[in-house]
Amino acid sequence: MQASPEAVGASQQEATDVRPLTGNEAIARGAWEAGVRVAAAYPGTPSTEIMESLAHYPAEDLHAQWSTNEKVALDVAIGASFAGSRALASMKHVGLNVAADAFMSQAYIGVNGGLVIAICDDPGIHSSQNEQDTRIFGQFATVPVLEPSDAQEALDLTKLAFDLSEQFDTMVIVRGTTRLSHTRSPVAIGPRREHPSRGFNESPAKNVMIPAHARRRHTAVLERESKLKEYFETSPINRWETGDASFGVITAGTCYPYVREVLPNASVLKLGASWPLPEGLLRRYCESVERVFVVEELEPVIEKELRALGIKAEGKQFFPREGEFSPEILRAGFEKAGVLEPRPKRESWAIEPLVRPPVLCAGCPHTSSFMAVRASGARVAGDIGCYTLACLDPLRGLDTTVSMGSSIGNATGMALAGEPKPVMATIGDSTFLHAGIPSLINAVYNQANITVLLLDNHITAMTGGQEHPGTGKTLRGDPAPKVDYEALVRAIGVTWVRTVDSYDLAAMYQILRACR
Amino acid sequence: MIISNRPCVLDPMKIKGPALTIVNENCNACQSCMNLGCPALTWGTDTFEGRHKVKIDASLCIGCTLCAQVCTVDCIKPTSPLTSTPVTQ
Amino acid sequence: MNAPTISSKKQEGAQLQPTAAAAKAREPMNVLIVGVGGQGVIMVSKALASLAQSKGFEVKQSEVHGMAKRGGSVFSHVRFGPQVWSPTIPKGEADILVALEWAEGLRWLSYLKPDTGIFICDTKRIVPPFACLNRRPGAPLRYSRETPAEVKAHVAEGYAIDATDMAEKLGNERAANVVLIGALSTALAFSADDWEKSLAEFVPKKTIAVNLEAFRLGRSWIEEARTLTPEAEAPAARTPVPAEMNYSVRLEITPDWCKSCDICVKLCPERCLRLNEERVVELAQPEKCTGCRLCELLCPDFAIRVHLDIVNVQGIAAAAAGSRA
Repeated sequence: MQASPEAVGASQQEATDVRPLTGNEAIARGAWEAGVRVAAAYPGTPSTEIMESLAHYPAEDLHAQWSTNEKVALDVAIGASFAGSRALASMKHVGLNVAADAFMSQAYIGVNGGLVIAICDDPGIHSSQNEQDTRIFGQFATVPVLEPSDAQEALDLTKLAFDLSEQFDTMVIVRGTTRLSHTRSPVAIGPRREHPSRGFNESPAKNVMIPAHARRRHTAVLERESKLKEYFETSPINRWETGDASFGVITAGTCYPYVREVLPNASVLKLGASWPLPEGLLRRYCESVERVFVVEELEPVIEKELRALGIKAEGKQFFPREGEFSPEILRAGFEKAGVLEPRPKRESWAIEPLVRPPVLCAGCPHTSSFMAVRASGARVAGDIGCYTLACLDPLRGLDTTVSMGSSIGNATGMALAGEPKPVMATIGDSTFLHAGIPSLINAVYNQANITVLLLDNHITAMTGGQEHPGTGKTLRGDPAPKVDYEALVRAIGVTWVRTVDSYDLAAMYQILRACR
Repeated sequence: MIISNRPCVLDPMKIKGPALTIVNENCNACQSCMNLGCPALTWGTDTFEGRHKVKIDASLCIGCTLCAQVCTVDCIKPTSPLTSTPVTQ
Repeated sequence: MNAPTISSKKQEGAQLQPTAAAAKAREPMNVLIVGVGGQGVIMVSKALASLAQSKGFEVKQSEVHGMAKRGGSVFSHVRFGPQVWSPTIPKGEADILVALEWAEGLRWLSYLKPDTGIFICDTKRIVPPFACLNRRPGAPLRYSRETPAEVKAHVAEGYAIDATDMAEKLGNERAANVVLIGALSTALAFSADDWEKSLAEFVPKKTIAVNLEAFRLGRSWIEEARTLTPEAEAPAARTPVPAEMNYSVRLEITPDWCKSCDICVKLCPERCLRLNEERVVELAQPEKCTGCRLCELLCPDFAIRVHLDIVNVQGIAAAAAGSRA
């Protein structure tokens, strides 16, 4: 069972062509080949390109959309699954928090048409507000989590995820990381296989989650979990690669290539699914080697499970629980564990690296907005977008940033708590549509004395410029109705609304002073 | 509620005015424009009272005129006459 | 400058072998390409990856997205060989480091193989706004001070090319990355024809001609540079960091003229002013004041005068000259 490059590609039966694809493109390709009919997402680095890539497949094959937020995207995909079609929702790790309400209940309901959620984690926090581990979400909801380790597996496992979803009546998570999403490697691609709609399944006991139904479904969920465990005992995606028996490494996903880079001849159990874990396979593997190391980025999910089984596994005492892994980090960990000879230390030339944080572009309209915000002397609740960069010198224009759409709620709380400075919320157009509207309604309803500055730059800029309901175009570039923000906020009950060109600094200053 | 309305500079319908330039003799190195944090603005070679005068990288400047608006001695000028750039609706 | 890693003669054939890895045939060739957002780092790595793949190698190309668009540092790892595991290059194992910007090249130097690594760097300097935030008189620019000669002395083989200037002379500054591809091409065993074919796929159609010219220019530049003996280049001394000037600042405030508009308070870059109980401006944190005069210039009622005394006036010229380098 020694791994070889041929074995990696051997999972393809109908390979017709090999193309260099990123992990995200491969997930999109896998979904298309699996016959997905409806796909929905809200952009979020590093997951954005999954939906962008799906939009390049023919419109007659599938509907692909930007939804207003991740919960809406998941709800759309769930709806398509109810209707009997294969559906995909994609999002970044923190997007699942937004979608979690639907996610946790749908775990009980299960699926009709295959339903897959592609989630990209961001270990190392390249472009996020935290580095939470999605595998724990899978465990939490009792939903299987497949972890591809390269672009080929991203395609193969996405296809498999749809099959498993229908076979076991469950949503399936395909979990990537930034490194998988943005690494390009050769992928054998195949044709699309259509999956005609199964038709709506009229079964209120399964589809309507009232307490009486939900209690019965919970039992079904637990049964499903044990069936899945049994399936993964023998599934070829959990690969036992024999080697030197003095120690073994259990790993999954993007950690696997790092392990192979550092330990080309070691015995490795490469898990294709990090949840649920096959007890029998793990026990047999751990008995075959003298010491067992678990190499996993972020949380010790597999390690804890092994310990719960009473297996002495080593992991987080050698490999960090934070940040992204690299061959160096693994090497250091294995050296510390005494299974690798320490390399002679090289003297390095100490060069202080230049500080080069990302900055707002030349001519960015947020620049002037935040110059004016700063001059207004307000306490500013910020939000997520390019303008979060205005927290840095020299603008230093915002005081807090929590999560998508938090600004207005945070500002409401600050004002009601008696913050002495005038309180302002700054929120981008896409973020406003994502989660800002309910909190604006709340602020008006509870009559909080705050100023909301909507930074309308007509695009979802942070993720590279995606369309949204305020741009008048869909994901595929077709014309769509355009949100009229002024009419919208007036309808909510905001009486004082002004629109200003942010390149006109004097007007910005004046208007911000006027509303103080 | 204030809506600041101006498309992102990454927007496909990019609005681009003539690049701006700094009249070096007049610059008093107050670096008021540096408060913007614009990547097109860097220190020039000349100094005034020990502080660096500013220069504009014309290849990065999109002509938004914000630096000219905050200049305390009005020494930032467009390289060619300005035309109005209305907000695209 | 002995260059075991550089194969100047073209090797044609089905199984091209990166010569550096000839001894350990299964080890991949590691090329790290770095720069600043918008310079075309990804294009360079795509052209290389596509070429390597067309020659039958397993290729992995890993990059950063997201924040990088906004002027941050960008890097792309390209690894190719009979078999590639990690998508990222381990520290100290890059065969070639191609940098499109000087300070970015320095940032990644530790990734080069100490005894054989080749360093190819544009001397172009993109100074980030962060480097220019200090308003103290005589403040140094916060940008790398290492000179090309110093860097060359620390790497096995190093080239500092004025690629951006060369591309500008060709009429398209944006072709600087292709000049560097030209330089890179001499260090790998792919033929010039193959490179040119690969390039034509990745540059905009209109600019193919100028890019091919840039490619050839980069190639011939390296070949010329290799004929020079290292002694021919006089090691330039590093420019000293100018000493901070001694200065004192005093704010003369006329309270009667202050109308508490607080414009100066809000726009002071060091945020060292405040309004006192009488709502008159005062210098709250004198140690932070740099004497930039912005408050004096912004005050609509001339209520503030800044008295800036620089002790070592003659130091100004020296300091200015220092930070110019």
